[in-house]
Amino acid sequence: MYGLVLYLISIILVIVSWKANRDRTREALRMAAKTLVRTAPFMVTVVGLIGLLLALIPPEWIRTYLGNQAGLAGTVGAALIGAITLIPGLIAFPLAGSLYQEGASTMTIAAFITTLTMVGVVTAPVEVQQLGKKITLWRNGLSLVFAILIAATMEAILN
Amino acid sequence: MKKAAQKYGSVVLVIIANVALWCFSPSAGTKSTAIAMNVFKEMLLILPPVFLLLGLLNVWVPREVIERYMGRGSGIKGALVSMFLGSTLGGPLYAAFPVAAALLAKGARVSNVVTFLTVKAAAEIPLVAVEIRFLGLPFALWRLGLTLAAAVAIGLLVERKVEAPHPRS
Repeated sequence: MYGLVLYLISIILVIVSWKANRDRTREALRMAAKTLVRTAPFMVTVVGLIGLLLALIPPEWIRTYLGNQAGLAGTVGAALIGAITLIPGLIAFPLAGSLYQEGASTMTIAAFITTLTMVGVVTAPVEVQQLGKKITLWRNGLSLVFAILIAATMEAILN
Repeated sequence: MKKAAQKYGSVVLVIIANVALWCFSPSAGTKSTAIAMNVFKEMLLILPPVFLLLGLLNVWVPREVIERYMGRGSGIKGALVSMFLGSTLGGPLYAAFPVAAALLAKGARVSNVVTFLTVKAAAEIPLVAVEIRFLGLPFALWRLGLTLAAAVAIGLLVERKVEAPHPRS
């Protein structure tokens, strides 16, 4: 659905742009094709990584691991699992919700969700290609640190 | 040759890993390939229009516009614009990286681009609604608020680290 809307919007805009200025539109199309081709191998890598990861670390495995761990070690573990894995939000939130109800700590759940979304090891190939190694490493590294800070703050506030 | 290795090395590795998984455990291999094909289909649906829109942005939106809203000197407004873009843009995270790169090339500050990405990843509005449903309002709102603050802090810190050796005047 999102994709179709996106196609529709971009096709309409290309037509409007074509009517306004053909040369500029040609330039835009050329640029779009060039960046698409240049990015393709890295995108395909991410596709492959997502497949491998979801097949090797199924959400049920995360349930057994996160459910049993407690304390700071549990929180750091949860943060690391969240950083490495990539679960779609629509699956991750129900999973986190049921673990929360089963007694996992606020800190662990917050750390898990925050790194799950904020830190992307799987998407790193595309991030490095588009933005460079430096931004990617610092952004993800700092996100991991901040995730633990956020988790600790939430534990202090909500409990 | 070296360039080709850099470009296609990771793809080849991922394919080899998938084949290896097939040999070890055909069921896991099948699952991995099926998931990958699904993600690939989604990618085909999303990336071409994203790149078309970025191409149009590049020729039609003057550099000054992006600089005014997200560049140096955009101040708090720049951070707010980045948060707004990040939380409403939608779509998968991998599609946001080319958008971030395009903004950077058009004169947006590193801090704002990183804030945009972090908010996109961790505080999207549709996902916040799901979070409220499964984890409760206090949990979701506190995490959202802290994440927005962290996104700005991370942006500023990354900018300092990235630009420190080559200060831009």
